[in-house]
Amino acid sequence: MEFNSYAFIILFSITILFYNILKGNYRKYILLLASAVFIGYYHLAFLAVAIGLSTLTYFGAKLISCAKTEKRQSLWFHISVILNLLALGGFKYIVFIQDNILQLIGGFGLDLPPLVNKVFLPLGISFYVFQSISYLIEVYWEEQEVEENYFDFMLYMLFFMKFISGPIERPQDFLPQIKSKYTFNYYQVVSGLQLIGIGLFKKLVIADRLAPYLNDIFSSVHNYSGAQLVMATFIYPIQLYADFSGYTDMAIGGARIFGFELSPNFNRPFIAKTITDFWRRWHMSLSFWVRDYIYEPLAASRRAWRQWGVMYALVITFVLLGLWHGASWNFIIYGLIQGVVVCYEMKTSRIRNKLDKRFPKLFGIYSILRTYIIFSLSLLFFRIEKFSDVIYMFKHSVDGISTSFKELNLGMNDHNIIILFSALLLIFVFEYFQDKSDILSKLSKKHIIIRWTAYYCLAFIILLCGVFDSGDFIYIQF
Amino acid sequence: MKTLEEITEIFKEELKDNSVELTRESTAADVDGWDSITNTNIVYAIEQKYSIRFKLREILKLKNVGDLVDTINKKLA
Repeated sequence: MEFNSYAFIILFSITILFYNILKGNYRKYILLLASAVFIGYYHLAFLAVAIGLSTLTYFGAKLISCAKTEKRQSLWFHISVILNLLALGGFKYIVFIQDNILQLIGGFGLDLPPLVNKVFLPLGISFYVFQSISYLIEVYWEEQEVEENYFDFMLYMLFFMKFISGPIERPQDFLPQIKSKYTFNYYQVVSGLQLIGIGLFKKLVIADRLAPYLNDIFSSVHNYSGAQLVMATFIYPIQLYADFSGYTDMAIGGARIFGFELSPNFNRPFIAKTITDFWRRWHMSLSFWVRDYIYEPLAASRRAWRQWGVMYALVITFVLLGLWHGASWNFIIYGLIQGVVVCYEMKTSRIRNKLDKRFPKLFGIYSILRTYIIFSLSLLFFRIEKFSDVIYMFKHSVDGISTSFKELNLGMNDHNIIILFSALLLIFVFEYFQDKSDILSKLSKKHIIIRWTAYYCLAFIILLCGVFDSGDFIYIQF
Repeated sequence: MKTLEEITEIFKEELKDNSVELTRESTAADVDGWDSITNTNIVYAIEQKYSIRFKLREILKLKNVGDLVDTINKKLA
């Protein structure tokens, strides 16, 4: 049930109707019911796993808070976290771990058959397991009161606007919102609808227009010239951004209509001057999660190693961040590249600061381009399944240098290129002004003619230029 | 007050920036260069200066410079 599907629109509309008709706790129950329908619509087993793990976390946290001694607290904390990780590992990583062990054993001449061939991956598990762990840690660190109300906790875990691909919410941000009294706020609803419009624009006009061309190239890299491979490499971050930030805009916008404020996930990542800064702007709910719960404890525990301790923590954190996306060596390499580059940036920060002060504009542009290029290249490990195909792309990127301009368009006709270029320009200009002066909220206070002209224009562009036979959101696979 | 002045010197040294000014309310967002990466070195430098050792939970719980000063003073008391 994609956000841009008819089934979702029906579910969303019915839920919003009852949400505003019903009062008090019934509002929460209607959201929980809608969340159960949303998850169960994909597969009932997905719902069963999500409820099971959430219930386990709920009682785990209660045991932590009830424990009389620190030792007991620590015991219940570790059991609860390990059970969550085992569930994630069991569904997501078991085949990968098994295959690697068998390969290792095979190296010693022992040829064993695999025990498990395929395990189904419950929808959204990577996201809600991280929410579970976040809650358990905060309760264990005594930063978060244990949640007594089972239904409130289930809503924190299962709320359908953020279930499939986040943002990964923190208990201290989300649980108080469940407790607060809902009152209909016209401007909040307008703001939510505006964001959904922007999200649809990014997804349907940009991401899904690019998707078929890039999918073809990445699934058969051997059939394309070097110049085309390079082109695809540098365009893919745009598709991924439009797809994932489009999803996030819709999630945040939809939640806002119900009166919930979800965490931001993107903050104009392509203006980042370093990969370090980039990760403060890209998939922020995940990068801040790994920063707070993996990097900081690791770095603090190795602080006597000074810079080496920081680097050790950075590399492990980014490798785990890469691995979070999926069970493959390519994701590990993707994370490793980020970690190594962030370490390099840490070591060279003084010289970069000096250059930035001396040639602010020139060095600024260079830094933005450099960051984009590094991220684009690392994303090949994220996007392409086979390691050999990534290497092929690197090796053959200078093949066919004499390629005609026609080939560089990746098979897109002029009409598509014009739409894409204009849409991208529009989005980047919009994000610039939105960041500077929140033009969306200003728009919602303008005269009715100005407002509705803008809304009709957006709807018209989406209907005219959107690609409606599109596929899933990219991050649904994680 | 003395502790605040002393740790300001440590911040200047670790962040290689003599313009650093700290108040009890200062957070990482207010001080250029004070981020999750430089924080580890700052904490370690403070431990060395005062010959104290923070618990992991104490480090992770620090919200601003005031928290840091209070934790140091508590350990020195």
